[in-house]
Amino acid sequence: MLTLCIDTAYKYLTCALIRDDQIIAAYSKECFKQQSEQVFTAIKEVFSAAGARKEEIDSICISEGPGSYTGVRIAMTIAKVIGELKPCDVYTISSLRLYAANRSNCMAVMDARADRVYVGIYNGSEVVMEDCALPIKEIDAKDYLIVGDGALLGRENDYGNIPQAFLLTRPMWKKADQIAYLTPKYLKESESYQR
Amino acid sequence: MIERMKKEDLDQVVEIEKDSFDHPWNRGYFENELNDSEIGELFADIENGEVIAYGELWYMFENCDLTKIVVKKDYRHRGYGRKMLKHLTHIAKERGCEFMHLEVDVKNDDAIKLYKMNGFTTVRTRKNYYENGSDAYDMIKGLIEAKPRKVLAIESSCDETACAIIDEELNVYSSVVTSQIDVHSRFGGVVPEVASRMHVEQISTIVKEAVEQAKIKVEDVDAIAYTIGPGLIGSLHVGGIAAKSLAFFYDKPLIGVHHLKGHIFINELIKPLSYPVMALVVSGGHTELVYIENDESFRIIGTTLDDAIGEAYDKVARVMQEGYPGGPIIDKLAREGKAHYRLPTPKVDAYDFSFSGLKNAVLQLVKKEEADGNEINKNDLAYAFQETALNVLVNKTEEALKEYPCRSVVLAGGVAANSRLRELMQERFADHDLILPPLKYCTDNALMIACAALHYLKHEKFVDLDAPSMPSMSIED
Repeated sequence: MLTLCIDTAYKYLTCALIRDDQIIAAYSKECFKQQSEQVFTAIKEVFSAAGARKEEIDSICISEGPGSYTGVRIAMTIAKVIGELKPCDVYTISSLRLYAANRSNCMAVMDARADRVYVGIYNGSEVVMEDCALPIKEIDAKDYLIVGDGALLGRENDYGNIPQAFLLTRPMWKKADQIAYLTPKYLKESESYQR
Repeated sequence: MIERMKKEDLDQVVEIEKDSFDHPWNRGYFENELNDSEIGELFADIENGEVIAYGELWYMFENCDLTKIVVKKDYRHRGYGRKMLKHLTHIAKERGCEFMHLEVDVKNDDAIKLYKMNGFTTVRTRKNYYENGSDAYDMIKGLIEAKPRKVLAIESSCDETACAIIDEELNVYSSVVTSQIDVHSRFGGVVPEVASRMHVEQISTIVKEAVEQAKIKVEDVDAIAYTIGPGLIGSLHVGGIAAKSLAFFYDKPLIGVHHLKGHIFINELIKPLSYPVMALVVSGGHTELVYIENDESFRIIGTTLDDAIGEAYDKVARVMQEGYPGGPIIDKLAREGKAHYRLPTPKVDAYDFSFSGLKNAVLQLVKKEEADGNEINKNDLAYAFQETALNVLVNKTEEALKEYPCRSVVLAGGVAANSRLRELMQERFADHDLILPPLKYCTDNALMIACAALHYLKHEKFVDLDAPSMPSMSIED
């Protein structure tokens, strides 16, 4: 089994190839708002680093959001098109959960602009609080390990090791039954929707 | 009916042979070929038991020799030779041959013409080839025809998600479009973030449908094309990523097409363009006069200084509280209207356009009529606006053609669907090779991107997988 993992949801551009239970190649760089140009360079790089052929992949796992609207659409579009056409299996995982990986008692946050954050609380494989968008002032972070945009809550930013996080969260990947109907988890209605 | 020759045909065949040649093949030769030749195959065209024509093929690896085609004297010049030749060519292809070869007497004009018409070319002359001292031509025909290349194209520059497949001979394999117009009409215009979201929702379904309808596999296409610009950046991204995904995973060259070239080249589905071409490009985002010297040279000789023509229609429809999109609404109202209101004709230098003044004049007129307590006659107002705006377009095109003489004049873009504009174009440019796009291809679609992509393919103009989308790209780039 060879899985191509892609995360373009936020600041990083991450690609990883997982064969059986091992990461055989990984690419992860800060690439905010440049993902759409760089993503295939990154994918190419992991295939060549792993010495794998792209025909070999039988599944794709992507972060489904939340994150930048443009960013989450990149990995989602690749997964939908290749998943439907090749075809191959598509799995999704929350981008906040990737920051938390398998850590205990962990609050993952990400800037949602306008003094709000996307936030999810995880304890290992357990979801303590589903991802949602909340005003920063409503966040009570004191009991948690903070990952993601920690600086927004007066802590350190910590995005962990995203390729590793794909592997660690593998039991939590959600398999898409109907790839055609996959949509990013924006968590916020577009401002323009509300006009 | 042409079938493999049988023993019982031989009496007739030998007679025809004697009747046709000074040095005929004898009966023994034919019997030998029918019985145990491993390389020869004889065919006869038989009608009501009468042998009309016959022919023979010899197979030698990938080559096939057409040793003879003979038509009975009374039946010559009636198409039997051509019929036999076609059949034998078909058989040779079926047997896996790559070339067909024959010798023909240089004085046998009829036969030479028949062979040339059917794709044979003379490769050499053999001196004193025949017993009578005549020379012969060696002629050959390649049986492996280069298949026309196919392009799969994706369009997502605004509010249509579309995918189409076409080949170099302009055979349309599929063209699938979904429009978001119903959603955006609620907002009175295209909302970019909403459009991007809907593209992601639709994209895989649309591409898959186009491939399935075409009854091909992605592996079978020769290039992947997409709209690289201009358009809404978020919308362009989705189509771009989808196209790059296919190009990368299937190892296909990638073509980034300028959206307006698509609107122009879709006209080739009607007939070939004769260069130079003058294109009047009119849509919700563009109003341009483009002088096209050849399929690689585009020059904008006139453009709008403010609103695009389609935008002006939308705004005027809004002033009239008639909904969105404005183009078809005003076109319909104007059909019922008459000359009544007067609107100023926009005056702009050279071949440029301006429509915001006209739009304001409509607004002022409506306000004045309201202040005077008069009810606006919407049909007449639509008529006044449409006549004024469209005449500007057509007049400028006419002026431009004086300085830039062109053979073809083409109309392109969404506003090309306007019935009055099509009428005016036909009235004014009847003396040109005028091409109006079919109504179904006026709005954005992927077939137009595919049509334009064929030109990029011909010139091998490809882009890399890291090519950025270009929301405000010029057609001159």
